[in-house]
Amino acid sequence: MKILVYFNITSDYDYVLDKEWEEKENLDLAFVKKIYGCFDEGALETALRLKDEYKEKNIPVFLTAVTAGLRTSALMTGLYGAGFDEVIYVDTGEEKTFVQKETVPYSVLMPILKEKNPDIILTGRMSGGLDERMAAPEFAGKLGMPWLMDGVELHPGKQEGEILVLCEQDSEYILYRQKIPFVCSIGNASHGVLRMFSLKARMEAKKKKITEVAVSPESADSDVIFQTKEKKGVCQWMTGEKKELAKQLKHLIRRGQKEE
Amino acid sequence: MNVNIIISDLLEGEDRPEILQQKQKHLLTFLNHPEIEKIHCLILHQSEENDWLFEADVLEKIADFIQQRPEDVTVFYGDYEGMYLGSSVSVSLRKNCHTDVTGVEKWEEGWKIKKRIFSAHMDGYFSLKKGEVVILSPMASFSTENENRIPSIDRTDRTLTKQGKNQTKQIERRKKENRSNLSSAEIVLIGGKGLKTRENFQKLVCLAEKMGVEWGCSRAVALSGWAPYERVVGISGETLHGETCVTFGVSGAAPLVAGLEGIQKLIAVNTDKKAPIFSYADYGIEGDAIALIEELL
Repeated sequence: MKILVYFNITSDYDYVLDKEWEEKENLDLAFVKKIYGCFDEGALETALRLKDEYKEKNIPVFLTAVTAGLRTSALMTGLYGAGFDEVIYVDTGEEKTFVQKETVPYSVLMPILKEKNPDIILTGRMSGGLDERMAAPEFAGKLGMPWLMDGVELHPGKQEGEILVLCEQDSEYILYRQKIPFVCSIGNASHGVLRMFSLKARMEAKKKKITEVAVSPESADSDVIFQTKEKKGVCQWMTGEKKELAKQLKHLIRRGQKEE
Repeated sequence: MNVNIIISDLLEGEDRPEILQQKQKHLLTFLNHPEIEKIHCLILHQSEENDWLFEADVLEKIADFIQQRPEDVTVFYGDYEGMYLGSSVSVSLRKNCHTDVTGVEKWEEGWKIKKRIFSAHMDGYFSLKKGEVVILSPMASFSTENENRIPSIDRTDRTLTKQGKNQTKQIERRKKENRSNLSSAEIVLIGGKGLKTRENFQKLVCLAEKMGVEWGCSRAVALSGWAPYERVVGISGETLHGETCVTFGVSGAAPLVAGLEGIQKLIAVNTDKKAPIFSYADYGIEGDAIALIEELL
């Protein structure tokens, strides 16, 4: 069984101050902590858990993680420590603009996907450029595979080559039996945080090399015009002792009129 | 500009006319722009109880409909199936797809779509070109300014037939156990990681129950296992449209704030006076959220 996870490394936008966002396209996020894309982290952990379940059945699983765009050695080699067998970085050359640095033209990954020929491709629901959510349908369409959206758990099926995929839809969860090969975007994964691993595993992971593949991307320029989000207005501060604040708060909740 | 809209209700296994009508109304209100001249509407119906989403017939019928007017923009309602069908059909027809769109505007240089980018920290305006696919965000709000203007609508109904070729079989469905009425609740209390422990978060839940109001949480809280994902507010969860929302120990990360934009009165409690949540709040309390919850209990 070959499972491939496409993930992004992004800046942790929650640590960027409002005044920095006002820089818009000139924004420099070089100083900001890097993290796995939030749904991508769930996709990585979901793949590891599927591998664990197959291991119990003595079925070997080869796990590949592929990324492009921003690169952070610790986050990439860390995946070896967690249990990935190969980590690939697709180098699209020097990114010049803020948008190019923070987004990934996922079309550049197609040669790798074809070469690796995985049975399952997982990716976070928002991965790709500018929160488009198009990576999974694009991969599926171009590789001629079916795809499932917003998976939360994957488990081995009873029969060989079958996977049980639990998907979260608007008001319910639906369990699908899916034959391989297929693509699945991972949404609110039941295990959304990548596992911790030992210092020993971390040290050993550092010795392993990231496979690098250089590609020439299609033009990634976008005609996007940025606008910072509008603030609501002036916050009216409530002050006083705890009891007084609780009383005021209860009053506000109950009365329900905006302008008191 | 002429527009195609696609309306379906394929997940329930039977036609629900009221849902189809709701989706149509939402799309038409959103597209209520004086320069949108003609709307062609495709409504898909099931012929028998079935899981239709993965049937090839669905995509074929949509693709045929779009191909009749390849230069028109095609708009999908952005629920689960709209997102799935819209993105799939755009790939199969090699059309550019704009997802999670919150607005369509006419600028001097042409049409633009608006959407949240970088985890809702910024809004981006992208050119909307002929023939492209647009998937509306369920969070999209729209002006009712021209509510009485009814664009010319040409409606086409198509009934789906099962082909049974798909490799995806539905084997179990279950309603979300903890599904709340967050999106329509009038009063909601939201807890964030500032509540520090699961026990403190439970106090917030007790308070909500005591007051007879709904409660929600940030994604960080759900990731910590203090509350189920069904209670998450923001871009990866529910959007609130009620009267009053009180946040306790919520810093105000943009992805969460995106889910509060429909709230009329926002009250925030946080120890950090510089927390971003206060930029969006109508009322603010700089103080210990846990102590205040205990006082309210």
